[in-house]
Amino acid sequence: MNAAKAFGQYTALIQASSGLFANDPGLLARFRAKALGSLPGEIEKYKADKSVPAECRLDTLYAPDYGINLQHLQMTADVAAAFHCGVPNLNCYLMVVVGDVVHFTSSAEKLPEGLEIYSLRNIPKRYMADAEAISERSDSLNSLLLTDGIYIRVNESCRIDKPVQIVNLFQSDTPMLTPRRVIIDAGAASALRVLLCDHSQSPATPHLSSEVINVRVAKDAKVEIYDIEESMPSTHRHWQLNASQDDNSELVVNTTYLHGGVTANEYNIDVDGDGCFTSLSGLAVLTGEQIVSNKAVLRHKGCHCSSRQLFKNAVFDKAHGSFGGRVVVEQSAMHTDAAQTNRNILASADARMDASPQLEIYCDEVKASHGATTGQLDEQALFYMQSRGIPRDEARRMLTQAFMADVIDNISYEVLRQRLHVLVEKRLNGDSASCSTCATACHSNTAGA
Amino acid sequence: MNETPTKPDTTDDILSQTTSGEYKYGFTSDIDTDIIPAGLSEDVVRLISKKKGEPEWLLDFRLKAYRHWLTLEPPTWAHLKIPPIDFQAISYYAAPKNSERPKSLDEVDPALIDTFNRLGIPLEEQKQLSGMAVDAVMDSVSVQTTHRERLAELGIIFCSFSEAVREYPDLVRKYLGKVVSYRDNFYAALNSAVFSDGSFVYIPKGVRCPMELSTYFRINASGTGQFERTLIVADDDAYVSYLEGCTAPMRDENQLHAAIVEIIVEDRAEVKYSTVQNWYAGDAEGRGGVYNFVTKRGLCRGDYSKLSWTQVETGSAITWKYPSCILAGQGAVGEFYSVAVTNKMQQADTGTKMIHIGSNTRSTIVSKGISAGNSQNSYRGLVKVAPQAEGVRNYTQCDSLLLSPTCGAHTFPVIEVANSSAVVEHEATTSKISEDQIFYCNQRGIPTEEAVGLIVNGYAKEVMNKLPMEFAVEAQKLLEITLEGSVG
Repeated sequence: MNAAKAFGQYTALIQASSGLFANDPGLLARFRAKALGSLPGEIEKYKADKSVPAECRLDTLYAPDYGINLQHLQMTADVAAAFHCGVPNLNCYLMVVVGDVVHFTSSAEKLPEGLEIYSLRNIPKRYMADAEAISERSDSLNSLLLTDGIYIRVNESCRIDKPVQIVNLFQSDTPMLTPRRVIIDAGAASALRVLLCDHSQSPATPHLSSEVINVRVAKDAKVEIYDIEESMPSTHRHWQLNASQDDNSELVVNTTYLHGGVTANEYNIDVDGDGCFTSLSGLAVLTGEQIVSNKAVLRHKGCHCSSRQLFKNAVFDKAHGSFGGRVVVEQSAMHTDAAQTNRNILASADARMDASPQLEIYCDEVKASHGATTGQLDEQALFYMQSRGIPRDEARRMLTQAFMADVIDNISYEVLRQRLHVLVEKRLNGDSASCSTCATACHSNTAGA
Repeated sequence: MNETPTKPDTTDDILSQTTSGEYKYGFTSDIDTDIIPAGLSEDVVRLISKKKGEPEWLLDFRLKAYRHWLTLEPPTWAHLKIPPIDFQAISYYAAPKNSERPKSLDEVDPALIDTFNRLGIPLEEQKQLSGMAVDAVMDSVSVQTTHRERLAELGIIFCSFSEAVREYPDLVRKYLGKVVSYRDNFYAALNSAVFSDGSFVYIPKGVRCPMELSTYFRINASGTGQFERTLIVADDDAYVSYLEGCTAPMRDENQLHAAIVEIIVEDRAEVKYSTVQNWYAGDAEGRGGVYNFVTKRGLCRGDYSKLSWTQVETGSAITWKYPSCILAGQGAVGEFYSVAVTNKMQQADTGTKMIHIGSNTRSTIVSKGISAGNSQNSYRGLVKVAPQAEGVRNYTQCDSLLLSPTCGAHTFPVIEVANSSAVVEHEATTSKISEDQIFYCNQRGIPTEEAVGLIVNGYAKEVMNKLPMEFAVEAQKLLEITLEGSVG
């Protein structure tokens, strides 16, 4: 289907089904009204975007005929099975999003003081204005189709050690588009860790996950967001992170792609305040015909800020990786220190990698650098390892893992860091993402972590 | 210009003076020129072709290009603010009125000779001293070609484009539009339709051109665009070094310059193409200046062929230029060395494309941007490795130096690798001149102004070294003029 037509149909569908939303709270209605106004302009942008591989362009991603759960029907999924994948089951406040419907588990019902989590369907009136302000810049199509979502709020000076984990599950026999949204509002001098995991249990069903994460990091606050994608080749995803940072705040974002179909990740970060630190990193292990595009725009507006970007891809088989990073240093952003790094390994003849690390600088008191390399594993290192009796394939795996290690080592949350090392190793060993084959192993390996 | 140079105390003071540098080549020479009325239509294209007495096939080529141009829109993707250009307000042909080609220097209009002398390229002198052969293109017709005889002995053809069309139609027809097709882009189509003259170089098999070939471009008449076309063919085992320099007089309105350079490099041949571009950049408020929209591309068709671009870009109000290499032969080598300086209200979006198609091809990109005043300076580059290209190697380095708080320096590299044996590296840094470096120089008794000059020259040296001697001196001079006030 032609993309503009598909977008048009979504709009018509929403307008025709307005009766269904009669009981919706004000917030979703407001999102929808805004999206109806801005969508036509955004469609033009989708079409004009040549910076990502054709498969990751939004008009390609959204073009197939997906069903949408407008009636907000509860869907079923085997939550227990998802836990076997290794990432979940940490000690955390857990929420499960099945399709696009939010479920709170018992651990998320008893929250410590200062931490509040709501479904967007029953968000208290007093927080609506905040949630709407934080969501100001969101993908219009996601806003249009949204029927549920999560609002996380940390009050001033509350430092929450235990992470909030959100597990996105998908199980359906019909092709579905699932709009998901997480709004994170971190008050002044607060600290919060959020873990996002994507899983799918329907290998045969085409699925598009459209997820928008909106973050506001207030003064002196620290927010860490870790995202792990381990779904099916039939699951495609459009993931958008929009964040703004106030004075002396810290934002850490890390995405790990272990399994999935076509993934288009977007990061839009506005560093408005002075003295901020931003760390943006991502790693992807791509095999088969998987495609991942990471597109990051980091805009420095405040003084004395520093930012680090590190993206690494290991591309095997016929997979295709893409990195597009842009650091903008505005005239007001004096003494900015920005570094952007992209390293890629092409491990087979048909693998492809595109990189576009860009700098846009309007200020002279600045230190900015970027580097991008695409190449292979060091032949000498391989030879050395072989001469020590390590089979070539094993040596390649070890070197690839070592190549990925510094992205994972960036993660300050130790439990997750250890687990990611294990997961990446398993991934490189070719272990299937399907839980049925590895459930016990996962548990025994990681239960103690 | 500051009448009485006061001793500036701080770097900022010195840097703020950069806007005072005046364009030294801003004079117009009163030479009779034959200008056709402004506007562009099929009739104009036919008129240009007729005035130049061109054969039917070339007129066809022009008309095809013109018809294709009508279907195109000016490109908008560059990081440039280009005011709308009225293509009907430009005169597409201006030739010095001298219907007969001069046989010797005596026949050339003395005013024209004087112009060249003021530009620093006295033809006679260069003939004897520098060993260069100069083909000067003023407005649109090539006026004088020197050293023809000596080159002819070796079988080298170096002449104006119109002459080549008359005398070597088969060669021109064989290669014209083979690297930059008229369908390539908006300005390439426009140039293909209305190009008035340019240079043609053919180096036969196994010949090493004994001297540097040089062309000097200058837009003289007001309200005219210059659309020259350069075609260089280096046959097997040939070598040539080609120099191109550009200046334009100071005028209030903008002048359009849309040129095409096509280079074909055969087996084991080598072409070195150096440019010093100093078109008028407009005044401090951004009035006037040349729009320099150029398509330059070389096809390294032969195995182990080599093409090297070196450019020093100091002029033009707007520069839109990406000298590129298509590395099709086995083991072909592409190089790109660039210094781009922008000052006042100048805008530059320049860089290169290295397209690796053959196996074991190598490319090096070194780009140095210097921004001052309120200018915007962008590097834009593409390194592409085709699936069949084994063992490709690329190294890219693009650095930017910021000399004022209101200028901009941007980097837009694109790397597309579709072969796993490729090693592609990109590195870039952006910074201002460090206070420490200046302090160190001051401490050693070097005034700040000189220190900035030293540092900028040192920064650009890597590229300047690649220029032929004769050009390096001029380029250094240009750098100084462009950054006058900050460079001692």
